[in-house]
Amino acid sequence: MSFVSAGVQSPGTKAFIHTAYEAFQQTRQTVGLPIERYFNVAGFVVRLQFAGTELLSVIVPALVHLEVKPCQNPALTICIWDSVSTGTMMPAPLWAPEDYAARGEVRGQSDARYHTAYVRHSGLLSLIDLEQNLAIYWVRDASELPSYETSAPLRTTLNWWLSKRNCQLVHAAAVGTAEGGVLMVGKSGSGKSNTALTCLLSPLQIASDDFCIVTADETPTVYTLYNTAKTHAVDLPRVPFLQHHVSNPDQLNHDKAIYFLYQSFPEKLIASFPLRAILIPRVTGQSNTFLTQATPGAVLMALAPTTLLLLPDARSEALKAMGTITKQMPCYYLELGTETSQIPGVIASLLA
Amino acid sequence: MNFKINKPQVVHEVFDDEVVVVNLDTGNYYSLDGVGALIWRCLEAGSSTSEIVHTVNESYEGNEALIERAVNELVGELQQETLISASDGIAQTNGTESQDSSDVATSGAKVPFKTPVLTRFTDMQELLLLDPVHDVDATGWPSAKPGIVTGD
Repeated sequence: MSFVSAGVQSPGTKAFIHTAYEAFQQTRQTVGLPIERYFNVAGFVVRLQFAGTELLSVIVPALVHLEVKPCQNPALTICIWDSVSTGTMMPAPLWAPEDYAARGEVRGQSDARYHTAYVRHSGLLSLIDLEQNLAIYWVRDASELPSYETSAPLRTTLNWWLSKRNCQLVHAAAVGTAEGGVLMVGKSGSGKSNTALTCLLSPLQIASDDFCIVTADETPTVYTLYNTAKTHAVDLPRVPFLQHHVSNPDQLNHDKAIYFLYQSFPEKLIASFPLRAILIPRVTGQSNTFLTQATPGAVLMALAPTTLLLLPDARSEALKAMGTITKQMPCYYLELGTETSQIPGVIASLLA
Repeated sequence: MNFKINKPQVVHEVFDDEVVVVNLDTGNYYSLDGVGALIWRCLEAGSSTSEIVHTVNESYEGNEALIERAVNELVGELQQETLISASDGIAQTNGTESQDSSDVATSGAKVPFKTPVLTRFTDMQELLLLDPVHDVDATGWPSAKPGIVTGD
């Protein structure tokens, strides 16, 4: 891998990603267990290179439904390792403590070619060189990674890279069929996950419980990214058919229940569908579920802030992409009733 | 006085009669509609407050003094929320001179004026790590801060 290229705007970032890549190669040699896995992400083959095995169980389960055979020329390569299990060190950063920003960005270390983010509480560093299609994913101690990294791994890196390809990661659930489907938007706890999971017992399929990819073009298409689903422990009685599929039963006193749908309901996963409408789930307390009109502005309010704040370096281009998608779509509130069995039928009727 | 939107930390999307604004530094987000959306579009175009008042008067039926006061109050509120700041009169949209505010005026018959409201939402601040980093460990990396959780 060569790092010689024109148009470098952040020499410090270039130097650091070069150093980090060398550290990865050295770790691979030291550990002696080179592992490569390939995944089809929205039509692009992404290669994950691991040094050591510690992070395999963190990253692969959520993506395993996208796994493909190895290929010679992947579109993106992500180098993945941790220090604790491999006994290696990451060189010290070139930036100062005050450069760490609120969303995880590192000030002065991102431009048109490079991005840098560091999640302080888990010690997770993400770097990308968009010209070389090369990314670094390093964590000091894999045991410090939060559960959402298992359910939605690599999302910062993938968003940086996909956003240059007219694709936007969005914080939304997505259900439908090959003919078309809906996004369900809203902040965490708004009901989109539980709504999506009620569709497991219907003809509708699931592309996303939490994060998916949408193309920002004239015919927006939704692509699955993660096969995970999550519910609060208190909501388990609402999805009794999932009770035996909780992947983290020992963590439910402080964390959401996580399910890997590829293991439990593989036939219910769908790779992609044309987007037909966007829904804002809203709990009403009434018995019936029905749709009411929403404005594009209301949909964007439910979709954009939560997406932007969860994705380092997502800025006006990301908001514009979400606005472009929203403006083209019929927008509704999904007024959720207590008879949850009605929910898939209401969505299916909209799509019919 | 002219104003500029505080890019890049403040991002916005304009619909016909609605505006969504997000302050990426604070995690706060906002909505404006009707008169408020028109005022935001004027600000984006680099209009002065007097130009904005004129544009609102052209589009809405109402007491001129009331409209002027409402425009000034909303502009002040937007400044207080650090969404906009005073500028030298250069429009931000394309780096050229400020546009004629009539460019963003609504077309058709005037409708009754309603005092604009900036609706603010603060429920996503928890997604940000707003406290600064002070210490790094011997490896040069910030010490882990257990208990702080961002994400979903």
